[in-house]
Amino acid sequence: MTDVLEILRTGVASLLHWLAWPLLVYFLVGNVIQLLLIGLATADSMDRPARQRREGQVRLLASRSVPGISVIASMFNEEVGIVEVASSMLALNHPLHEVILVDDGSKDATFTVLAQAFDLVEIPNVSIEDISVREPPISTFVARDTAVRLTVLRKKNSGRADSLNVGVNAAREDLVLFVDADSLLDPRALLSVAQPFADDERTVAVGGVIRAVNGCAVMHGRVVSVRPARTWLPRIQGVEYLRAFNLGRAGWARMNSLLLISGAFGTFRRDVLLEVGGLDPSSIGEDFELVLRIHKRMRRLRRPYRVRFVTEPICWTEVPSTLRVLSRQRSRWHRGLWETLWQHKDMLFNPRYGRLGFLALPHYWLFELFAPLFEAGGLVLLVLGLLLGLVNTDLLIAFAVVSYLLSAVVTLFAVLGEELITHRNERARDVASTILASVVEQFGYRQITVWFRLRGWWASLRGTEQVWGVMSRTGFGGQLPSVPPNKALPPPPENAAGEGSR
Amino acid sequence: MDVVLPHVLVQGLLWVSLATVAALLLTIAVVRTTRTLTAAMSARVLAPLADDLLAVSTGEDPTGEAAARLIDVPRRHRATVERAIVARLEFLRGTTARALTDILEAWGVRSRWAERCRSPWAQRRAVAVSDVGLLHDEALIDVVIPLLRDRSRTVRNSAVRAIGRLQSARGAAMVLDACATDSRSHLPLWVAMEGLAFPGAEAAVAEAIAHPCSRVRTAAAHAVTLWGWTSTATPIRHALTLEPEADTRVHQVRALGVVGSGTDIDLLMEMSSPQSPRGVRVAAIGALAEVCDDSETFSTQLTDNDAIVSRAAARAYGRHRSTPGVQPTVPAGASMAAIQELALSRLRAPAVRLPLTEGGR
Repeated sequence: MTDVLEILRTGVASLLHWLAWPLLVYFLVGNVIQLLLIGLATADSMDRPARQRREGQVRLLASRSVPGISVIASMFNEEVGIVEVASSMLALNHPLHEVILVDDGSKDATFTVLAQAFDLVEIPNVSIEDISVREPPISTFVARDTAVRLTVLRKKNSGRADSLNVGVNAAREDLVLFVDADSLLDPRALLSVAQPFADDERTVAVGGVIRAVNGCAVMHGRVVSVRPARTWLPRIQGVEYLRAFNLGRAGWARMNSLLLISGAFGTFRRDVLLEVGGLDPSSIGEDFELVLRIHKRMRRLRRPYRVRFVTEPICWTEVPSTLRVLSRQRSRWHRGLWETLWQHKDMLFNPRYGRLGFLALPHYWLFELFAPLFEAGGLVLLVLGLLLGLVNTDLLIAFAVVSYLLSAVVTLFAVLGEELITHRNERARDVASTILASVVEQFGYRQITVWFRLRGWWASLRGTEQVWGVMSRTGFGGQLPSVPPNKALPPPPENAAGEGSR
Repeated sequence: MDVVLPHVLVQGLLWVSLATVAALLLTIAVVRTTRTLTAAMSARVLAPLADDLLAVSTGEDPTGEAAARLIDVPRRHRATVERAIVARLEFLRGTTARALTDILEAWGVRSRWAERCRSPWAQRRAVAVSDVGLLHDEALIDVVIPLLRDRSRTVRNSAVRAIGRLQSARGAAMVLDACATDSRSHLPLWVAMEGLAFPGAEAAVAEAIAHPCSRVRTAAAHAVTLWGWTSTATPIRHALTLEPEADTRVHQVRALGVVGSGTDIDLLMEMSSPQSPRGVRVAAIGALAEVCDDSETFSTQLTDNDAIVSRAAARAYGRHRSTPGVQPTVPAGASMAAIQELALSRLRAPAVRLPLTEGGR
């Protein structure tokens, strides 16, 4: 027994000897990158004062040359809330927008409730395939009152990506906004995302801030009061979203290297979508994959282009409130991340892709994909080192505190950004609660999400088929809609489980 | 670990991160408190002036007493009142806007705002140039024009909007020039339109229709489409016959649809033929719908294999056939896309609303 312990002790000691410095460097570089992204995000938000943003939106609303937007959502068994969501989409502030709902073979009364609510009438079905699809629409319906620009397409079930491609084929406006059929949009959402396209003709895609709606007061499909979730699990995810969207994505967008626009809220130029062939229905991380493909094409053709990000909270989605659902979500995200990065590995360190190839993609490989591996490995080594008396306890505690404090710094910057720009937190105690959640997440939540992510990666490497499962939600305003098997879970905030303490 | 990990580094990081956390917490507290106090102070300052502000903003101050009281606001409260006035000015025009700007002028904001337009901070320049535009005084154009070439996109866009408010013909010409691709950081088309949205821009636009740069020609044609200046019909017609760029031709064709007449049908028919690019064809069909009364004009395009083209033709055809009480019929040989579009036109046909418009009278 003593021999075994001695061998273990020697093995762990040599591992620590060899890995301590690389892990420390990894940790430091990760945090320096976070701080750089914070700087870039700050510069981005300072570039456009609130008044200029508002002024631009007011002008956009009154403009006759504004780019039109087709809002496209795929729906599957959404009978509970779809009428409210469709009404809220139709009522968004924008002078020229249409709503296209693609019924992806719902088994419930989704279509019937829509048909009744909007007095839908069937028109001749035309299968225009600007983008080739697996399942073309079987029938096309529009609202009898054509002032209501609603089109409902019915088709056999073929998944979210394919349904959205069907919607893109039917879209008539220059811009296309992908949105989840159970996400709530801010009334100004369309103006916010249309503005970067209007202000800069090079813009090909725009992402927006998605926030957790758990805990918020919702009335008639609108978030009327922002509150943190009542339970810790969604509250911590709310902090993750805050960090990832307010700092990470804004920072990458500033460098024109934003790789991820969430499918729950992403706007694209329709002609560009047609050029790249739309979403890939076989991809698990179809949103990530699409943006990478757009970057790839634009860089290959040497076309000037921009992928932008708007930092106002404009889309609200419900985050998982149980560990089981969270587990499935994080596994799927990580699996999608791995498969997409592997699919586009040719872009890595390829001079043709500039900053994307040398900065953004290596960051995703090192600090997103490998993060759970390094984190789990480091944790196991430290615990072993501690048990075997190889690690100085005081130093370890100091290191852990530094790690947690750096994570808190990132969260605090995100909160500060909210305080300076959007003023969404009405009560001081909500701010305190957000900060507290960033502390609590370090004890258990972080570690368990590392495990979920590793599991997703492992499942992909083993070639296990992705099972979507059913995600029960608590719903808005006490409703209990369920998320269908084909439906995307809420969008992945990058750094979802690992940022800050690296 | 204790051997290899430098204590000093970890200790240093610990203190730096602790200090940063403390500083950030303090900053958040200060930001929140400042915001609350500023809001309270604004409310306190504006409450007694609310009636006066309302009277001036709605033109219900014939004696000028309310305006005089606002001018006499103590200097320490002027910044707050200035913000309130600027917020109203963004939505006001005409005499009421003039009454409000008179108050600001009495406080000497003109020179202060003009000075701020030269600030080294882009954010400050952007706000200042927007403010200058709110004064609606063409004499300020020289302050604004240099900012059309500013290194900040936000400042450039704000400068264009300010020119639209100042309604300066010289400014409009400069906006068009700033659209040129060879200019430093050229203006987006949509933003440029905001600097041309006034009658005085017509001459500058007419001149720009024959500009050597295709992007300027596009901007000019787009402005004609939006504002429908009929005096530009001849230059547009002429430019269209010579235009080498397809994108520009699309805009010129649309413009001709707005300002053209029946004499342009042949030219537009030529543009809608399969020899033209798709964008030009679609624009030409739309323009034909504006200048031509005969729905049979679109019979060829209705059968076109290109779904986008046949849809456009169906829209134009349905529009002509959607006279009250007459449902558009589906012509023989129409493509499926056209049939779908015609079905939509049938929905739009005012058969349901007929009793309200005709029978109800």
